[in-house]
Amino acid sequence: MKDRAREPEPFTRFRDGTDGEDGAVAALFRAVSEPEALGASELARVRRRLARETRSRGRKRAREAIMIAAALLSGVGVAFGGWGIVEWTRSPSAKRESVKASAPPSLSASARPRRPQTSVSRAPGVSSAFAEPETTAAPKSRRPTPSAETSAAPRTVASVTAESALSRESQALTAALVALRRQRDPRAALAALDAYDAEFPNGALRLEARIARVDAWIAAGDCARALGAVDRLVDGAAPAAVQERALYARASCRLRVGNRPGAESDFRRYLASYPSGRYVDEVTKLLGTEALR
Amino acid sequence: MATPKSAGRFEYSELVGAKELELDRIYREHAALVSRWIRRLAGPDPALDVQDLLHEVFLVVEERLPEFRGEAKLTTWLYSIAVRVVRGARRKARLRRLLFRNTRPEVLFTPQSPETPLGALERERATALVYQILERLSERDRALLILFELEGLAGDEIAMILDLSPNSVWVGLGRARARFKKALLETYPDIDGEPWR
Repeated sequence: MKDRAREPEPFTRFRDGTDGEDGAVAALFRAVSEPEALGASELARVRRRLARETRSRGRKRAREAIMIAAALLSGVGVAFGGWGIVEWTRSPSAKRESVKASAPPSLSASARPRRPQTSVSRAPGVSSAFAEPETTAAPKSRRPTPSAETSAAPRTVASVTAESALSRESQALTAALVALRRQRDPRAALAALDAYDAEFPNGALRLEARIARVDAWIAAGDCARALGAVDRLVDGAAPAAVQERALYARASCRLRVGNRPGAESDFRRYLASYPSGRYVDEVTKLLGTEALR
Repeated sequence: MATPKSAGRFEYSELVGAKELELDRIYREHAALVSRWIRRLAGPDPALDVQDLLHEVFLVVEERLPEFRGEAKLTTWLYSIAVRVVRGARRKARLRRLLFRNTRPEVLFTPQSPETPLGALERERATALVYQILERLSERDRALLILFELEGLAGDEIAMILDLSPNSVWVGLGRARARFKKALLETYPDIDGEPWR
């Protein structure tokens, strides 16, 4: 890939700079090390993973193809069956028409509007041999058709929409987190989280948003509200990473509001539950200080 | 002459086999190179695993191989996939870091080992310093600088990889270089003292 200076380039690369203004930058870039490729055993490991996945994906695709073919075949079968039945029911009705045509005009006029109904629901006077196959065949012939082809298109559109919704959701949450972490503005973060909740009440990242809200309340000094929310996260069915973060947040909150026994119990629970967790160093340090006594 | 049924079966298996063989060939010939690019693009970020990213790149290659028509060089096409996969992984890692704020710095200097020769140590520190500054730039600036300054790619190749016009590459590079220098001088005002040494 290294194919420099095919055409004159407007810039000289930093590393090719001379001792002038960019001398130090040039020296810095010249000192940057070349990355090494993965070793043979690591490459082989990735290759095995790929082969495994290709095989399982191949099997999955074959299963899907069989199911689609079966659905199509049954759809075609039912459609043919339905068409046959319709044709079959039509011929005697045609006969009836010819009979009605010879009947007095008042009788044929009253019978005519009722005709379409007889094909949908069983009409009095029509034998079950005609009506029953039609009533059962009609929904069957409608059902398999979308499952085969038309449902595939909405699924793709839905997946694309879901992806863009997740991306928007992630952006909304990131805005709150940036306000909280980088700009250190918990009020702006809470406002952004309110906007997030309004737009994505059942969002995929709602647990993360709740944790961020707890952090924002703690940063804003509102530990009472944070404690109310964090209990549900610690003892609920949240993923381990969220529970870990929530437990640490609750311990910090309890410490801040002066509930030392509660904080100590949470910190000990943290160490027992997450011996290699992200906050082990801080918790161990805190447990060894006077802050908890 | 083969019966239509057996001919159909033969063709199908042949097609599947051809795709697998092609993928296998691409992997054998390029995986090591792609892993090196991934390392370059990801930088010394402990949250990004090169093996996982290589795996992800080749899953995309498998998916997109039928679309590849040879308009670009295979290596350029692979590079563009690697750039996108690493960019996606970095985005996820950044969101995770924002969510569960790490107490450690985002880019770590490799621990100094007494066994490391001085030159190698300097290279490691210079690499970490460059990536530390790159972290402060936008994804686009970062990608442009890595491809041009570190990988030494030509402008038209960068344009193909990043799906930009050659003009945008040069304009973007001019700005990215200026921002890099500004950020570097803000972080290390005494850059002439060569802080990585």
